[in-house]
Amino acid sequence: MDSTDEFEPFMTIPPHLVRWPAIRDTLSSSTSQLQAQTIAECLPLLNAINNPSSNPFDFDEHGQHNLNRADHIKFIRDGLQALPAQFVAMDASRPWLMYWSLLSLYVLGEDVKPLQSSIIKTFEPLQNKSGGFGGGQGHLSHLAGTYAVILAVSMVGGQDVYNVIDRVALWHWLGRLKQSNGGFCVCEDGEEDVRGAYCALVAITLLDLPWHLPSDSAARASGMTDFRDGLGEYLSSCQTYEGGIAASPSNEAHGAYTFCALACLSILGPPHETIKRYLNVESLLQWLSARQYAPEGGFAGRTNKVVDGCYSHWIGGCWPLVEAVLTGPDHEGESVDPSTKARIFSGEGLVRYILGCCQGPSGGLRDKPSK
Amino acid sequence: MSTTAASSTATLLPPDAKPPKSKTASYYSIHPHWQDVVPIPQADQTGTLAAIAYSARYSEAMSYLRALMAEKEVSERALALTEDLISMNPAHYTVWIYRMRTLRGLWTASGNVSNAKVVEVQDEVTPTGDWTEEVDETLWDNIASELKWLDEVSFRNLKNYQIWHHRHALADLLPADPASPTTSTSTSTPASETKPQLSTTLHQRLSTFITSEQTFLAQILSLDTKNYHVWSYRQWLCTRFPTFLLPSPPTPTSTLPSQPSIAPTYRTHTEVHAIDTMIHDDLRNNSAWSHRYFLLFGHHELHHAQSRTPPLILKQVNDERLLHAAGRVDTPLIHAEIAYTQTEIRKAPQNGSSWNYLRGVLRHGAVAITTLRAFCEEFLGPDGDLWTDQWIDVEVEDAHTAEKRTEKQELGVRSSHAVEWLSEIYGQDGADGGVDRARECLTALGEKWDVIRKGYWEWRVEKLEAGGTK
Ligand SMILES: [Zn+2]
Repeated sequence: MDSTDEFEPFMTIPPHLVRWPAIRDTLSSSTSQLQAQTIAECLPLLNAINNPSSNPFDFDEHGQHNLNRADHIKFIRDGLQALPAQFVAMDASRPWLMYWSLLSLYVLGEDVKPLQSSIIKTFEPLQNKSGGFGGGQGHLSHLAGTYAVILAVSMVGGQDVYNVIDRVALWHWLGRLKQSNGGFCVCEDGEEDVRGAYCALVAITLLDLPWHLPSDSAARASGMTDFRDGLGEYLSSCQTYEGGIAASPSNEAHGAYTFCALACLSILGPPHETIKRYLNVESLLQWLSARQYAPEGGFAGRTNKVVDGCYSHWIGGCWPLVEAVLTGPDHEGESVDPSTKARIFSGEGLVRYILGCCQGPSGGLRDKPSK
Repeated sequence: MSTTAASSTATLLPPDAKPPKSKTASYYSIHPHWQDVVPIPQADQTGTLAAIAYSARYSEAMSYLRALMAEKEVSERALALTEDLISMNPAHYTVWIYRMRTLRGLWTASGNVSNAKVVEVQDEVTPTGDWTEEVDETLWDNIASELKWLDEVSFRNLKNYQIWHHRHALADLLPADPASPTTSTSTSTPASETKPQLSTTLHQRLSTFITSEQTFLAQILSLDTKNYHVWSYRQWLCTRFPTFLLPSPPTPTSTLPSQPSIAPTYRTHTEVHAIDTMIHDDLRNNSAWSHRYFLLFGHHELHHAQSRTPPLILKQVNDERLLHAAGRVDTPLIHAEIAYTQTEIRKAPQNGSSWNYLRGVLRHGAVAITTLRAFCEEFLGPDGDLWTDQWIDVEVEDAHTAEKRTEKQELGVRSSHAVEWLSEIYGQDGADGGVDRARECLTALGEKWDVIRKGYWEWRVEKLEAGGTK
C-alpha cells in the first residue's frame, strides 16, 4: 500500500470550489475582466492545502485554513486602543467601529463585561440632549450610530451601562425621523433609506419604547399615529424587479439594504407573515441565492459585482430570516428551528471563502485578498 | 464679528489668512474673525475606546464647529469652517448637514450674509416652490456656485456619499416640476383640472440645469460605473424632474384613458440614450440595467402604488395587473425591450443582468415566460441537450491540406440562466412530460452548471413537485 494514501481524504475539496466556472462568456467587458481577476486571486488561496509550500498544520481535516483566533482577538483589541490621526476618516463612525469590534470579540468567545466602564465613558459624550447618539461629541444624532450604541450596550450589559441611554429623549428624536411615506430618515435633515427604518425598529424594540408616535412627531400631520404606520408598504416599494431590496424606492437591489429590510420586517411581525405579505418571496429567493458564486464561495452584494467579505454578514444574515419564512411555524404555531432543514445556500462555500481568502496576515478580515 | 480686535493682540493672523495645510498649526484661535467665539473642546478621552489622536488642526476646527452649532449660527464664516472640515474629513455627515442648513439660512436672509449671528435656522427656503412662481435669479446663482464647488469635491472623493445627499438637498431647492408625483399626490386631482404647465423661462432654466447634471453624472460614472450613491441620486433626480428625465412622465390617472406608446422614439430620449451607451460599453453593468428598468417601467409601478391612499404594497401592482387595468402598460414598448434584451443576451448568454431585466419586463407586461421557450433553447447543447460542456472537441478537416485536427467549438450549454428559465417553462406545460424535463434542468444546474447553489435547485425541485411554481 502506498504510504501517501492515508493523506488522500485530507485533500478533498469539492471540485467546483477550486475550478473556473463551468460556463464563461467569450465576450469580454470591464465587469467580466474584474470577475476573472477576482477568481484568479482567490483560486490559489482556496486550493492552498494542495500547494507543496503550505504548512499542513495551518489547515483542518477538510483542507480548510484554520481560523487565526488569537490574531483576530489581538487585532480587535488593538483597534479599541487609541487610534492614530489618520483614522480621522472614522471620526463620524466611532460607535460603528466599536460595535463591530465588540461583536467580533463576543463571537470569538471573549468576555466583554470588563469593558462596561469604558463603554459608559465612551458613549456618554456622544449622546445629544435632544435624543440619540452622534458619531462623535457634538455630532448630530444618527440612526446608524445610535443602533451601534444600543447593541454594544446590550452586549456588555449591566444597569449602569443601560442607564447611559436617555430613552425618553430618544423616543422623541425617533418621532422626528419618521416620514410621511412610512420610512425613516437616518438623521434630522439626513437621507431617508431602508437602513434608517431597520435601525429605528431595533431601537424601539430593544429599549421597549412605546409604538405610538410622540405628539411632536411631524408624521402625525399625515395621519400617522404609530411608528409602524405605512412601514410595510414603504419597505415593499424598495423591492426591485430583480427580487432584492434597494436603499430607497427606484434604486438597485443591494445586499446590505436587503438585510435591513428583511430584519425590519421580522421585527414588525413574524417573518413568515410580514415578509410574505409585503415582498415577492419567489423573486427575493432567486436574487438572494444568485449572490453566491463558485469557485469563490462568498457572497456578492449586487448582480455582476464581485465577491466581498462584508456580504458574509449582510447576505449571510438574510438566510436565517428567509429560512424562517419558508419553514414557518409548525401546526401548533410554534416556530421551527430552520437549521434542522436543508440549507438553501452553501455554508461550505462561505466558510472556505472567509477562512481561505479573507483572513489578513496579522488578524482581521478583509473584503477579498487584494482588498 | 469684529476685525478691530486684531490690533490688540500681536500674534493674530492677518484677516485674509487662509486655513494652513499644516496639521499642527493653529488657525481659528489666532484668526481675527473668530475671537468672539468660545470653542467647545472635546471631552477628556482618557479611558475611552477607539479614541482618535486627532491632529491639532482638526481638533481646533471641531471645537469651533461645536461652538457655532450650539448657537445655530448662520454665517459666511460658518460656511468657510465647514469647507475646511470637509477638506480634512469628507465623511463627516454633521458638517455637511450644518453646511446645508447654513446655506438655506443665508439664502433666505440674503443681504445680511456677512454678519455673524444672522438668523436661527428656522424659516428656510421652501424646498418645493410653486410652479407659477417667477424664477428667483439670486437663488439660481447661489445654487449654481455651490454645485460648482461640489463638483470639484466630488471628483476628489469618488467613494464619499454625503456629497450626494448635499447635491440632492440643493437640487430640491429648485422649483417643482408639475409632473412630479411629489406635487401631484398632495390632493386628489379632480377630473376637470388641467395639467399645470411650466412657464417658458422656467422650463428653459430647468432644462439647462438638467442637461448639466446629465453631463456631470456621465463624467462621474465614467470613473466609477457602479457607484450606488451616484445612481441613487440620478434616480431621485428623475422622480423630481420627470418632465425632463422620464420618457413617459406620470399623468393623473383621471385625465387620460391611456397614453400613446413611446416605442417609436424612446431610444432617442436623452436619459434612455445615456443608458444605451453605458450598456454598450459594459453589458454587465447591472446599475445601468437597473436604471433602464426604472426609466421605462419601474416609475410607473411606483407611481401607481404610491399615489393611492393608503399606498399599495408594490408587488400588488404587477401581481394584480393594476397597470393593465388602468391602461398604463405600453405593449409596443414591452415588445421592443424584449427584442433589445434578447439581442444583448445573445452577445453574452451568461450575463445575469440582462436575464434579470428580461424577467422584469415580462412580469411588468404580463407576458408569459413560455413565449420565450425557443429563445432559451438556443443556449442548450445539440438537440436540446442539457449536459454538454460549453466547449467540446470537434474533429475538423482542413479544406486545403485535408489534414485532420481537433478544435474546441462552443456547441454545448452556454447559459445556466437559460436552463433555469427552461425549468420554469417546461414545468408549466405539465402535460407532455414537462415536469420530468423541468426536473432534469434543475438537476443539471445542481450537478453541473451551478453546483454551489445545489440547495436552492433542490428546493426548486420540491416546489416543482408540489406544483408550487407559477
Ligand atoms: Zn465590503
